[in-house]
Amino acid sequence: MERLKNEFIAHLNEFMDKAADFIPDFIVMVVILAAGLFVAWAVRLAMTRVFAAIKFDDWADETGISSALHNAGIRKPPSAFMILSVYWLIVVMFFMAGFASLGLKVTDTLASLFFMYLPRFFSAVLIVIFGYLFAGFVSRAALLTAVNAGIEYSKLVAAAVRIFIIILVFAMALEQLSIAPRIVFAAFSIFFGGISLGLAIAFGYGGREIAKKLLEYIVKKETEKDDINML
Amino acid sequence: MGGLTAEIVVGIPSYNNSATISRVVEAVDAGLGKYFPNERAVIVNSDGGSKDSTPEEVLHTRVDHRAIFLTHRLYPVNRITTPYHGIPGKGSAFRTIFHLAGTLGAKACCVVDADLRSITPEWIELLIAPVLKENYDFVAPLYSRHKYDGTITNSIIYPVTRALYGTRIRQPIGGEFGFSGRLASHYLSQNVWDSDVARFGIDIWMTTEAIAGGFKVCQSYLGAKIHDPKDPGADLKDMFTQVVGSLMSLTEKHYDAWKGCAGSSDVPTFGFKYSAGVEPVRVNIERMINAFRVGVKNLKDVWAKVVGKDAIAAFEEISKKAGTPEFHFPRELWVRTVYDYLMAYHHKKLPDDHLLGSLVPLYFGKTASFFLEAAEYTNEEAEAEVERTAEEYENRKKYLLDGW
Repeated sequence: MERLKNEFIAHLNEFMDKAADFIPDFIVMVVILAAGLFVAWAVRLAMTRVFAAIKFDDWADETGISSALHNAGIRKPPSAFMILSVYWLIVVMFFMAGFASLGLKVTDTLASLFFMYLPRFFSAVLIVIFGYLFAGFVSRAALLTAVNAGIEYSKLVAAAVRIFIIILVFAMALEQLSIAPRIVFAAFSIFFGGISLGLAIAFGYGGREIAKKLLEYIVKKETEKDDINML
Repeated sequence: MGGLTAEIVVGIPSYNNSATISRVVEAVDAGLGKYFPNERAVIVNSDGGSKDSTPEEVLHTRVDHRAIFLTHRLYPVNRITTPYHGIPGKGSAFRTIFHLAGTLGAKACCVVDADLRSITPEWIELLIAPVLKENYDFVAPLYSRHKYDGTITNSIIYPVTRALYGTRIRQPIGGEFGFSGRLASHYLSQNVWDSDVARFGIDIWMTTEAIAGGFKVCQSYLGAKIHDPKDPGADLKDMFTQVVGSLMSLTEKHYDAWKGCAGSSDVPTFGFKYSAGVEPVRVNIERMINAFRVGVKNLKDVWAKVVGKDAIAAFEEISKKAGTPEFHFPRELWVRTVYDYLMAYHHKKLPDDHLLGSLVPLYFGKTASFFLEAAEYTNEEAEAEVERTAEEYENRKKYLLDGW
């Protein structure tokens, strides 16, 4: 009986010691979480004001970002979406930092994995944002070049250029995130190989007449130049 | 320059012009001998790295002074041929000429194209004398041109320059200009040589800087301008972008100079105006209408960033009449569109190249419409139509000011 009592007291003491070690870590975690919520709130407030001042949504409308988000099923205005994303990213970062403060092996590993992954995540986000803007710019340049070359279906050319760049951008982003890089590479190669082959067949066989007309148009254009000096 | 000085500098920018430049040098040399026999003069050929014998032609062309009843000059006309540096283009060639004019201490300068076939010795007098004898700083050319020639000048450059600055210079991008040494120094001091000014934008830049800078301007009637067939490699879109882009950037730069201007007035004109015959020209109106129609089919989303919905609806209506005699681009719509583009450039609604590229199909639509209307016009009637367009720009200037 005495032995049982001693065992119980020893375990209780051990628990109390562990609890005494854990409680300050837990309090630190709660403080970090509270700080995280406060920082996220402050950043949200600051971003709301800055975005309103620079008319971010108007710019997003002009650059086509709004319509891209809308097409992706995001119904919120771009500024609200950005603010919410940053808010939750900060909360999650502080949450992971808070967990790491507990000093548990599992949370330590999880937190270090999370923070090691963050640079890749940010790189991928930047690749997507700039890639999207670049796609818009290049596809409009392609559209104008095609129109000024007299190509009837210039919009189709511009859309093809845009899709090509966006797919390239997403492939780069996925590779950055290390999400099945081999599969992405293989899928990308098969996809574009298929497109090139399809276009070659379509243009060479199905589009013989269009190709003929296009070549005739180019030759005709060269021989039917005006004499006028437009300046 | 080894102490060489000159009161007059005549610049000839060139690139592979061996077929025509001798004739131009002869005319310039004869003009200097005939009209300025007592002034020291230098002919400067600023060459863009010709692959033919252009510089050699400049140096070795001989002029038979007796054939044009010339007495001996007090000073010989020196000739310099030099390659220019910087971006390849007419503007960079002019920069070298301005620089040499400054080094030589020139009081009066002029520039003439190397591909001219209609130049006579009198052109030199008409471009130099207003500067040397009447104290003008800038002399623009005035030509007799075919009613179909100079469509960018007629539909955009001349009327916009006139409406903005109130100065009626009929050929602001004529190519031949006279200017004082003082104005050459002003040109040289501007930091524009990495822009379109170094290329086709040089002409409108020289004219606008002279007007907006408060220099004394005039124009001289030179007769008909006939030059070698245009360079088949010259791309219209590039030419259009450089000239109209330069006009837009100058409009941005000189807002303070034009915002208060209302109406317009003639500038003094020198030279004897006569009825000069102009060469017939071949135009492909169908191709222009097609370019406009393709634009309407594909560019509505781009135009929506620049012009109003009503304008786009009007473009669509015009496009529906492509290929019929009813095809007509109204003057008011065109003027409002050009002003919308000037405002879009100012408010940076699109990258410059995209903005200007999207104006090209509309320009073709307007030009085709003018060609169809002017088919039965005499040159005078066509000129009257250009004047009506210019008046429309003046009358609608408030629209531009309100939207600036």
